[in-house]
Amino acid sequence: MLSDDEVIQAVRDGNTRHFEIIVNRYKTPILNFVYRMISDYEEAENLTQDVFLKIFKNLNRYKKENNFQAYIFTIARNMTINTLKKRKRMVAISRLFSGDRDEEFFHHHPDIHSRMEKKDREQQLTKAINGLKENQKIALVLKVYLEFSYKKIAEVTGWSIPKIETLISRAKSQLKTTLLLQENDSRNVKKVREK
Amino acid sequence: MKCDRVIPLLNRFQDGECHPETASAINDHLKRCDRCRREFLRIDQIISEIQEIKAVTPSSHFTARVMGNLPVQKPAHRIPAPAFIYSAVFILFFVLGLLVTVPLNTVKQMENREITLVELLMKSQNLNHFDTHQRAIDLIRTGGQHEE
Repeated sequence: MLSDDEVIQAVRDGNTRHFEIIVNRYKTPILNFVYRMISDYEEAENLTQDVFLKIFKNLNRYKKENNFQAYIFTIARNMTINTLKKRKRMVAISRLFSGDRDEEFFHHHPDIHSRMEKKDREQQLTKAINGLKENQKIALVLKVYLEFSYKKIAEVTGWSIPKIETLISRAKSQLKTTLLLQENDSRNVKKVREK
Repeated sequence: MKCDRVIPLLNRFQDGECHPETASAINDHLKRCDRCRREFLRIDQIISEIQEIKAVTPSSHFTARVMGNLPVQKPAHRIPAPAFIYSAVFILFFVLGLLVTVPLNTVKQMENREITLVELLMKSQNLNHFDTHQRAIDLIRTGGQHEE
């Protein structure tokens, strides 16, 4: 099996087809990272494609002594952050004109509640993760989903290990608090419906 | 190990980032201490549930789409030679050029000088009819002595 550096050299030498090895090797972990960050599958897949295109175009910038996995995730992280920033701006603009329609949506679609009960826990968790601050979310996703070590997270993000440890610790505390609140809310909603 | 030392390390322990000896000491404490164990299990359960959320997989044509959108690759770059190599080559050619052209010019100058001298000699020696130019040059070289 060719190493990442061997594949990259082959692509630099003109064997473009070899890039397929890189794509197949990293498409799932990159997609999962991006998806956990932006929570929209289609958008995550499109963004993941863009990540690979960017990597291909900038292959000459990659230095052999670096860790390619960290390099690829750094690009994915930066592009994801840019997407999230754009999304925040668009949401802010749309809310100026339309307001928050989530509750209205659920009010007119009562079936959603029953469907949610089936995947209640999963959605609670996803919502709790989405409520984390951006850096906490990045650190947590890399640690929990991709099982990166603190050291590897440091290579991807450029953060110090103490900072990473603090971010993850705060993320977990935040999750614990949020999930507790959500569980209490769910119990209260159930009680109201039963009445 | 006491609770006040264990609790700050629980996060690191849960992440698998503790030194083996420290991890072992924390493990022993958690077996004995209900409070710390409850705290640890609470977070551990949340993390385990997050990890159990099914991973997403790329669509079947994902790779083909990426490969199809790759830009056409430019020919492999020739490794640019360092500037000093180009400079060295230039200097080499320059010097070689000098080495070749200077002697040529000198010979030409000498020939021109010889021609001028020939004319002078002809005038002084009153030589009006030379068969060849070479006789005159020979005269110059032999110091004007010629055999008639």
